[in-house]
Amino acid sequence: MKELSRREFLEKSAAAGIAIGCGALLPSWLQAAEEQTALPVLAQVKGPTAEAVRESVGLLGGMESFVGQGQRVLLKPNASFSAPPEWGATTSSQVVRTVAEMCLECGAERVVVFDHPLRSPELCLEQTGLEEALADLDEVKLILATKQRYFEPVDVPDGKALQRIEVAKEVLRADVVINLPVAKSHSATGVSLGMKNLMGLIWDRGYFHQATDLHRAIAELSTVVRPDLVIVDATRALVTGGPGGPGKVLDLGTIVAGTDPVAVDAHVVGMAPWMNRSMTPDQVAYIAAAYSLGLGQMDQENIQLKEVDLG
Amino acid sequence: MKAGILRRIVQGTCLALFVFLFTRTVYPLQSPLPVDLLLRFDPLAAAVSFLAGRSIVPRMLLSLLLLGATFFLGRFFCGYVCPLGTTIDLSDGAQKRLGLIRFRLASIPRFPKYALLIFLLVLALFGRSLLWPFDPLVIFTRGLVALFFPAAVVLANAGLDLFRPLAERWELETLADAGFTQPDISLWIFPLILLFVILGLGLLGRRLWCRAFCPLGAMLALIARYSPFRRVVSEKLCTHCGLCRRNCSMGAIREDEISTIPGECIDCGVCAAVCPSRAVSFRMGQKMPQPKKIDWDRRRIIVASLAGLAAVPVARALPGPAPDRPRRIRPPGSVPEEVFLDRCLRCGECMKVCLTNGLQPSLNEAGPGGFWTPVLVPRKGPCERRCHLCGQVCPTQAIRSLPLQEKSFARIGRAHVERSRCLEWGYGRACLVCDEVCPYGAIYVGGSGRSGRGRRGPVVDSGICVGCGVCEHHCPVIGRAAIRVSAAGEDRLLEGGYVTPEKQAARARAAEESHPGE
Repeated sequence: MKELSRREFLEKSAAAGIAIGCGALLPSWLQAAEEQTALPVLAQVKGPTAEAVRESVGLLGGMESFVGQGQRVLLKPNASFSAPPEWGATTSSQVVRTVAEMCLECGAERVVVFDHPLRSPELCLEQTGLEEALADLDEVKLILATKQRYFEPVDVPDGKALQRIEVAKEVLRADVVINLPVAKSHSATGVSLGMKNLMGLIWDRGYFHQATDLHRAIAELSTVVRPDLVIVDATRALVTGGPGGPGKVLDLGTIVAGTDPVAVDAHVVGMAPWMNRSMTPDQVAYIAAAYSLGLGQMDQENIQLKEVDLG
Repeated sequence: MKAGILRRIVQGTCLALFVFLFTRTVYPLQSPLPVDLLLRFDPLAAAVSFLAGRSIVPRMLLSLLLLGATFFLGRFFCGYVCPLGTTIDLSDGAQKRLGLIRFRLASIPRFPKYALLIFLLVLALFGRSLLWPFDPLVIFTRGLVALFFPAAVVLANAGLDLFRPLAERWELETLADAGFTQPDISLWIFPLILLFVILGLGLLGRRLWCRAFCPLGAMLALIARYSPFRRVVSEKLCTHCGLCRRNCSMGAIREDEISTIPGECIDCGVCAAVCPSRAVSFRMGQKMPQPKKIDWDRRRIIVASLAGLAAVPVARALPGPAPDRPRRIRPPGSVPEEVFLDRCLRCGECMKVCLTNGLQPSLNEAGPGGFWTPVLVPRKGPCERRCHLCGQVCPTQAIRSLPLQEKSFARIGRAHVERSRCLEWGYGRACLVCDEVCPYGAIYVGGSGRSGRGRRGPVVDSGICVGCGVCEHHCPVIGRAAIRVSAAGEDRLLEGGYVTPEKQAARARAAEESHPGE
C-alpha cells in the first residue's frame, strides 16, 4: 500500500480544508440547489443489528423500492471463511436473515444466498451460522458453490484487466442483486468492502491475482455485476489481519447502505483505521480505479449522508 | 434352505451396516455407532499394531469381543459378518452364473493362511506391520474408500447431469442443484489390483482366499477349534452320499462326511440344508469326534517355522521411517513416524473423512515403508483448522483423536515462501492471497532491504505457522505453488499435549497485532 508522504498529506489536507471552507461560504440558495441534484444517498445507522438494517434500507426508500412482487433476489454475503462470527471475517448471519426477510415481505418469490467460499463449505455454513439462521425460511436457497457448473462466462465490455469472466449463473438469473459485504481489512487491497466482495461471484479468482492487475480487475468486475443495493455489515470490523483473521476487531455497531457502489466503499474506508492506519478512499486502489471508470462517487462532498443513531 | 436364507439376510444386513457406517464417515460425523466399528473388531489388526507399535490402543480392545464370540460360536464371523467374505460369496456366485468357471483346483491348501499369520505376527514382533495387502477388513474398507465410493459418485453425478437440462427447464430447483462432491483418492490402482486378484481367486475354487490365505480367518480358526458349537452328523442317518462335502464352500468336511476339519467350518449350515437324510445339525456342547490337538505333521512344522524365520530378514529389509522427507506431511496428531508406520493399517478411513480431500495415499512421500499411508497434499486440499475427523476415525490411533483446540496447535509442518516464484516478491504484483487465507494469521507483509522499503511480500512467522497448507492450496501461481509446506518442525507425540507456552504466546501476538512487520 502506498504510504502518504508528508508533502502529499499537506497538499491533501489543504485541499480538503479549502473544500470545506468553500462549502461553508456558499450562499444558502446555492446549497439548496446542490441538494436538488441527484447526489447518491448513503444511510449510516448505528444500533441493534436487525433494526439498523431495516432503518438503513428505510432511509433509502424502503425495500419495496428495490424488490417487487414475484422477483428473484440474489444476496451476496461474505461466507468465504470458516471462522466464527466474532472474528469479523464473514457477514453477520443476522444481517443476511434480516435482509432475506425484508425481501420476502416485499413479495420476492425466491431469495438466493450465494458465495463461492475459500474454505470448506460445510465448515463455512456451520461457523458463520448462516445455515441455522436461514433454516426456517423456505423461499431462501443457500448456495456455497464449489463447482464450475454454477458459473458461466460473460464478456467484459471495454475491459482492460478482464476480457471474459465466469460469473455465477444466479447473478444473471436474478431480478435484483443485493450485496452484503462485511467491513474488513484486506492484505492485498487494504480494505475489503462491497466491490471486493463481488469476487465471490466469480469462478476463477486466481486469475485476478496471477494474470492481471488486481485492483483494476475488481473495478471492472463492478461494470459487469451491478448490485441494486449494497448493505455493509460494519457491526464489527476486522481492522487488522483481514480478510480471514484472526486480527483486531472493532465494535462499530453500524450498518451502511447505499446504491452507489463506489460511494458506499469510499465512505466505509473513513470509518476505521485499516491495517493500523487511516486511509482515504483514493488510497484504496480498487476504489480509485472504479471512480475513474465512472462507476460512482468517491468524494464525501458528493455524497448525501443520512445518519441515524438508534441508541 | 432355511439356514441359507437366514445367512444371506445376516450377511446382507452386516454388509449394509458397514456400508452405512462408511457413508456416515463424513463431516460432521454424526453416527449412531463408531464409523470405524468394523476395524475396531479386527483382532489381527489389534495384535499386529499392539505388537509392532509396542503399545495398546484402547479402542482396538473391542476386538477381544470377536475372539470371545469365536471361542463360543466358532468361525461365524467369516460366514456371516465379514464384508469381504460376503463380497467373495457374491463374486463367486456371479462367476458361476456367468459361466466363467473353467477349472477348479483339485485340493485347496489350508495351511498357507496359518503360515501367513505366523509370518505377520513375527514380523510385528520385530516391529514391522505388513497388514495392508492381507487383512480382509482393511482390504474391504480401502476398496470402499478408493474404488467403490468415488466410482459411485461419478455414476450418480453423471445420472444427475443427464437430467439437469430437463430439471432446469421444468424449474425443479432441487434436482437441478443436486450433485455430490467428487472424492478423488490417488493410487487407487493398487487396491483395485489387489481386489481383482482376491476375487479372481474364486475362479479356481470357492472362497479360495478365505480357505487358503486369509490371516484373520487363520487367527479365528485357531480359536474356533475349541468352540463347543459345531457341526454334528448322526452316523446312523448318514448315507455317505457326499452332497454335504461337495456343497461346502470352505472344504471343511472330511472324506468320511462325518468329521469336520477343525477351524475350517464357518457355521454356514449349507451341509445341514442339503442333507437328504437330515443327518447334519449344528449344536452346542457336543464332544469333538476327533482330537482337539492341532495335527502338526512334520511338513507343517517346517513351513510354520520357515514362515516365522522368514519374517526376521523381511523385518530387517522392510523399510521403516524414511529420513528427510519434506513432503511427508502427516495429519495433525500423528504419532511418531516409527509407531505411525506400525499402527497405520492403510485402511483409508482418514482419507474418506477428510473434509478437503487433501489426505491422500503416499506413493513415495513417506518413503517405501510408508506406501499408501496418509499424507496431506495441500494443492489438493489443506487441513481445516476446525476439523479433526481423521483422528476421530482412525481405528488404531496412528492419528490421535484430539480436541479441536489441541489440534489447532498440533504442527504438521511449516510454510516457506519461494520468493523467485512469488507474485509479490518476484513480480511485484498485488497478490497476498496466502496472507488473506491463512487461518492462523501466520503470514505478514515484510520488506527486503535495511529500511524495509525495497521489495515487499509475504513472510511466514514460523512461530505461528502450523503447516495447514491453506496458503499453498490457494497460491495462484500456476504449477508448483510459491508458498509450500514442508514437514520440517512437525510435532509428533505419542502422548501429551501440543499446546506450549511459546506457541500460545506466538498466537496471542498474532491476534493482538497481526502484522508485526508493519
